[in-house]
Amino acid sequence: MSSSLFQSELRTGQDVVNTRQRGRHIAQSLGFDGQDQVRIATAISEVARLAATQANGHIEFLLEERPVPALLVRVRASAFNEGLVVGNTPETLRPGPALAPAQRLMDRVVLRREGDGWLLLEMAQRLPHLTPLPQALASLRDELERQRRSNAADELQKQNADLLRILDELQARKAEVDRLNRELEETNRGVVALYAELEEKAEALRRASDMKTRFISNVSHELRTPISSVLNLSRLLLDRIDGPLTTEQEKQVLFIRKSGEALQELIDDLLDLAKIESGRSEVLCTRFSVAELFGALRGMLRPLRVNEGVLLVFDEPVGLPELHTDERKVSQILRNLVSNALKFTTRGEVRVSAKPGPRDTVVFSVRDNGVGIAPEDQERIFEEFVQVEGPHQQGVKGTGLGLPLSRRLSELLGGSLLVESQPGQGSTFHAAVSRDYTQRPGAAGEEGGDPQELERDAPHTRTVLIIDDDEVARYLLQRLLSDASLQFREAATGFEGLRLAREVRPAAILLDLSLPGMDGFEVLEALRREPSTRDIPVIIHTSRSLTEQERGRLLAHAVGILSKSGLTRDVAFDLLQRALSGPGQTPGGGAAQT
Amino acid sequence: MERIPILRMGRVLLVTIQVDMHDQLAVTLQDDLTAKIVETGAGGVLIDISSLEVVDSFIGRILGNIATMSRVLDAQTVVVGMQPAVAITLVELGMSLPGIRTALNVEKGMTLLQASMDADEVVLEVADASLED
Repeated sequence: MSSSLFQSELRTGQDVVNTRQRGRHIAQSLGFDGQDQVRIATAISEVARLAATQANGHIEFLLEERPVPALLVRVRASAFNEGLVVGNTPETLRPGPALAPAQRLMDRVVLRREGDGWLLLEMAQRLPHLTPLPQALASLRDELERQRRSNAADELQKQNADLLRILDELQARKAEVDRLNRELEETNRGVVALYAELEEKAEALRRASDMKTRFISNVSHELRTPISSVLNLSRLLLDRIDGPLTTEQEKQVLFIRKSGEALQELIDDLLDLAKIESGRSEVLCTRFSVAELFGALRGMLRPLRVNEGVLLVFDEPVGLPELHTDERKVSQILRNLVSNALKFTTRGEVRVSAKPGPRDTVVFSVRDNGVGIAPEDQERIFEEFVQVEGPHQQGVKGTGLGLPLSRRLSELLGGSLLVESQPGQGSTFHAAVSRDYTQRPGAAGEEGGDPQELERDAPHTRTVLIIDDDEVARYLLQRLLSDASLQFREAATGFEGLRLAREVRPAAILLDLSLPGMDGFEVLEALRREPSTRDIPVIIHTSRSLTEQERGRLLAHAVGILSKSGLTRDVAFDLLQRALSGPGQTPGGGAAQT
Repeated sequence: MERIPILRMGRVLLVTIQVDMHDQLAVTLQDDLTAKIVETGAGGVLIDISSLEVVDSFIGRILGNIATMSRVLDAQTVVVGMQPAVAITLVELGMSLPGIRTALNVEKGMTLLQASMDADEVVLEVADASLED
């Protein structure tokens, strides 16, 4: 029989001190003399220290009544304490050297295992007198309980202090976070300002780029008109329309024409680039096979070979579906690539092939074994007017527009243009285009309408009015169409043209768009408003490159559009014949593009 | 952090332990005291344990350590005021506190310290004199 007096956890060094003081107090209350009190306190100190060092120990003070009244101290300690026990089995288990002091001070020290890794240690000291009175025990318990509570209050106070300290820390941390936040906000404002600046710069760049495109476009137009005059006039001369030429004269005119053609090619490339950049380029889709395309190119490109030792090979395309895209532009890309390859290859071969690419594209490859391109130049060659310096450049002419234009065209057709090259090993250009332009990624479903051919019968009327401010152009048209035994009337301005149209009632009108004062669009509208001129067929004769919208507007009221560049007698005559094919015909419905 | 104060009186360091020391406090006292001996060049240490009611094996060992370390640092240690019950318990524990000199109270302790420090000096003087010969 035993009754508990007090119990407590053993965790810290301070717990050990408290416990031995408590033990001394209990011993005193139970009537032990001073010497015994010190013995008991010392023994508790020894054992409690062992219990507190390894793991959380526990101590309990009990009053034992049998076999003799005694104070019993029961301590639970970790079994891993060194020297606490000797022996492993319950039979051999006995106190180890660490317990020697306690054994010397107390009457009895008993040890047993409790659970896994724990030891229960019991020390007893016989009471000096008889069992104390129950009242005395009760008051002792009360007192101990009070002490424990005051301890608990202390503990609470300590926890409060801890909490306050943590609160302070939190506040400091919050201040720090606030500060960081402010800093970030400032940085953010800076970034926003920088961003706006960048935006401005980008806008300025966009404007500059637009201006450049407009400038190139305008300049090219201005150049196109005189150069077409030069070409057409030289053609007239060569056709001996105005009498025979001497051999020397013929040679000279041929040179004029050749230079003129080179210049026109450059201007056309520039214009194409400008058109693509300004988004005004039209894609006229037709259906064609790669084999057909290669066939046409083969004939066109053979004469371009500079070096006799170079073979131009077109691989027969296998398993390629029919393409639905702008054949002229695809052909333009390939012409550019092949003529480049031929320029930079002195011997060996230039091989053109086609195969299906990813995402429903067709990839055309032009491979040469020429000089090759250094890695650092492989992007630069796609910049306008860039020509890579090198020994191979000698004797090779070019504008530096072919590759940039080809790349733009490939992109326009829903693909790309890439190059692989090793200096000295040759280069391969891969031009990808969408197999079906209308189905290309990002297509908005527009379709370039195929120009419809006009079917008209023979003409009978005679007077033709030419409205153009350019004297050379007027002259040229007359000469071109001269043997159609037509009468020509000329007008240099829109007003004069309108007056003549009313007076003469010509069978057809050739109208330029760029006129001083009243431009071609206005003249056309005025002609259509006036009942007496409403039915006269009008052919637009211009050097401007027209947008789809402008073409639509013109074709509603005109028979066709004749481009000043590349004007040939056949085309002009053909169109005129159609216009003259009968009075009262409905204007519009088609265009002949040269 | 709580500490046991160490007072200096001439060449003697005076330590009065008036609280029931937990183990860490005892170890700190040992460190502080050796540091102080080196710092002041004290010749003697007097430790008053008259308030201690429990001296267990650990504190006994610390007292022994202090005495040994002081001696290495050329200082004498005297422990005074041990309660009889504590003394008896220590003996029962089997601890004889080897190397620690004890005195009944502070006064006797100081006398003992003074005498042994004087004796050290005499020995030194004699050594010096013999050198001069």
